[in-house]
Order: sequence, then C-alpha cells, then structure tokens
Amino acid sequence: MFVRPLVRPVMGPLVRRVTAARRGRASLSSQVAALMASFAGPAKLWLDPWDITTLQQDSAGTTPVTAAGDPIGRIMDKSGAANHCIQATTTSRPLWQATFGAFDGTDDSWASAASIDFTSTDKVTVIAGLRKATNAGRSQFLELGASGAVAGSFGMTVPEDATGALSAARNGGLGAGATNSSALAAPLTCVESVGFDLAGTTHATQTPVFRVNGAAASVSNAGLANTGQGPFGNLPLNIGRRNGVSFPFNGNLYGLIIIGRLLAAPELTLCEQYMAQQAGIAL
Amino acid sequence: MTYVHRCLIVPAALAPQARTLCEQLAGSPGGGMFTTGLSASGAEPVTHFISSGLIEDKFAAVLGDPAVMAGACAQAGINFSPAACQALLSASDVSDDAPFVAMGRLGLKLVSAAAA
Repeated sequence: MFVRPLVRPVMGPLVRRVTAARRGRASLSSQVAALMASFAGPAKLWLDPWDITTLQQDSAGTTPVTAAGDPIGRIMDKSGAANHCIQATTTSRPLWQATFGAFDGTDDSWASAASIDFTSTDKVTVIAGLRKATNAGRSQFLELGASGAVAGSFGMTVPEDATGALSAARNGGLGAGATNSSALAAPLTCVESVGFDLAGTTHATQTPVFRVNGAAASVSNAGLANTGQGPFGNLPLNIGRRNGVSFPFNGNLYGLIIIGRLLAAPELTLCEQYMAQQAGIAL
Repeated sequence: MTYVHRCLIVPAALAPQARTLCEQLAGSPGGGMFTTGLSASGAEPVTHFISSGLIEDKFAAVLGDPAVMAGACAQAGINFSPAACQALLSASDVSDDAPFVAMGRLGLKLVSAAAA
C-alpha cells in the first residue's frame, strides 16, 4: 500500500535544516541562560526578540505580541534581573518582525522600566545582534544614562557618523571617552561586542573588547583616555534613542546581552555565536 | 485593538499644542510624541517635529478629520475649538507614508543635535 509521506521529499532537506537551526539556537540559548544565571545581581540584561513570549504590544504588558507588524511596547528581560524595557508612546514602539525588533529611525526606542543598578561593577560587556540600515547620521543604539556626559554611563552608536563607524563610549566620572571602529558600509547586519573596564587608564584598557562579527575591530579613539575609575551608574537604559529623544536608531535589533563583568574568551564566543544565529549570519 | 500606521509631521510652532492634544485624546500612549526635530537642511533650527508608527484606528480617525477631532475634543471636555482643530490639521502632514518617504515629500531631514 502506498503511504503518502507526511513531508514531501523535496521539502525534507529544508525541514531538516530549519529543525537543525532551531535545535542549535535552543542549545546556544540554554548556554546563554546558564551564563546569565551564574551572574548574581541586577547588573545584567538579555533581550530576545525571537522569543515572542517575552513581547507585549503595550507598555503595561497586558496584550501579547502575536503577529509580525505588532508594536513592541514591552520586551521582557530574560536575564533573571527583571530589567524589562518599555515604550509607553504608541508611535515610538518598535515593530516586531518575527525575529527582530525594527526601529524606524525617527522616534522608536525603549527604555528600562526602572534604572538598572551597575554600581557594583566597573566592568561591563555588551553583545548585540543588529542591523544598521543607513549611515545617514549618528544613531544612539544603546546608552546607560541620559547622555555620555553622565558619570557612570556607557553607550554605543550605530553608526557614530556618516562614515559608518561604530562607536563605544564610557564615562567613569571624569568625562567621556570613546573608541570607534573603522568605517563600515550600510546596510550591515552584524554582531557587535564591546567590553568596558573603568579600572583602566587608557583607551585600550578602558575598552579592552571591541569586536565586530567575532573579530577585533580596527579602532581609533576620541575624548578622554582615562574617563575615571567608575563604577558604572544606577541609571535608566535607553535603547534606540538618546534619552528617548534624539539620535534615533534606524535598523533592527536581533538580540542584546549586557552583563556586569568582562567575559572570558569562551563565554564571549558563546554569546557571539548565539547572537549571530539570532541575526541569521555566520561567524 | 486595531492599529494603523500613521506618519505625523507638525510645524514646530504647533508642536506644543499637538503634544498636549494627543496626550489628552489618547491618554498616556499619546504622550511623548513629537520629540524628533526636522528641518530642510538637517541643521537647527528645528522647523517641524515628527512622530511615526502605529496608533489606534480610532485615534487615526481623529487625526484624519478636523470635524472628528473637534467632536472628540468636545466629548472629552478639551478646550480646543473646531477652528483650532482645522488650523492644526491644515498645517500638519498626516499620512500613512513611511517616515522617510513623508520627510522626502516635504523636503525635510532629521536634525541631529550636538552630541555630548
């Protein structure tokens, strides 16, 4: 008797690839979960737009995201620290596009619902899966605090300016200092990793990690080399705009990890591999 | 709840009025609008402000017709005359365009403030 296969043979390889990708993502995701769980305290954040169960349309978290194109008014922190991020203004909510949050480059952003306390540390690692759509102007992708002038702040611009360079800035209490990548064309989908260490006294030691797609970026520096010895602040985290007002980010967020210490090389590689899978790129 | 996309561009002189009105009509989801400045050159001074994204369809109806806006104001007890509604919407650009399409149509660019 002929039994009709449940999956047509031509679909078999595709189904196997998708299934394998999901298995791989689940494996990396569980390892990232273990890493985040191993870090005690509030100085951490893990946003995962792939995970629809963490997304709500409104800032109060009452209406779940269910379909592509829905606004993301609240994205829940998976780190265990409950540093959920919200956007109360309807027009400023990034849109969910199945695997990422899309920022429109004019007024979209999130902010942590409350300040995030990084005062226990002078070290922070940020790993982001992102797409910059344009190099039209400065875009404040992420910033702890209202601006780079705030003591204890850190931030990343994507891009910093029309050259397309990515920038990572910190302020340990004396003022702002920044490390910039070389010019990068847009559009660009990438994994960006930055490590800040306010115990350092030079640009190189205050930003010991600056990687794009798993490789050390060619960098230049601006502002103070020694911005102070910290620690980082207990401040609101802004994603997509500076202080919810200026330098709007135009692009996609596939995932974001922030943790209040420098990661060991295998940990950093794990997070980058995870984030690359989120962004759909190969490292 | 049904959302629709709208791109709203208001002259800077009317932005305070538009901010207040949107928050009064839409509640807290309408607060914090019109914070992104625009100008023809992309440099200051800001001549317009933009808000772009999803809004509730009933709020879109209010923004699409001065008479509906005036009715909504009257119903909510907001002191905003029909003439003022007409003036605000006449001077503003309300469309379902993507934001950079609307800005291009009006010859406007984002204004980048000085970085700190």
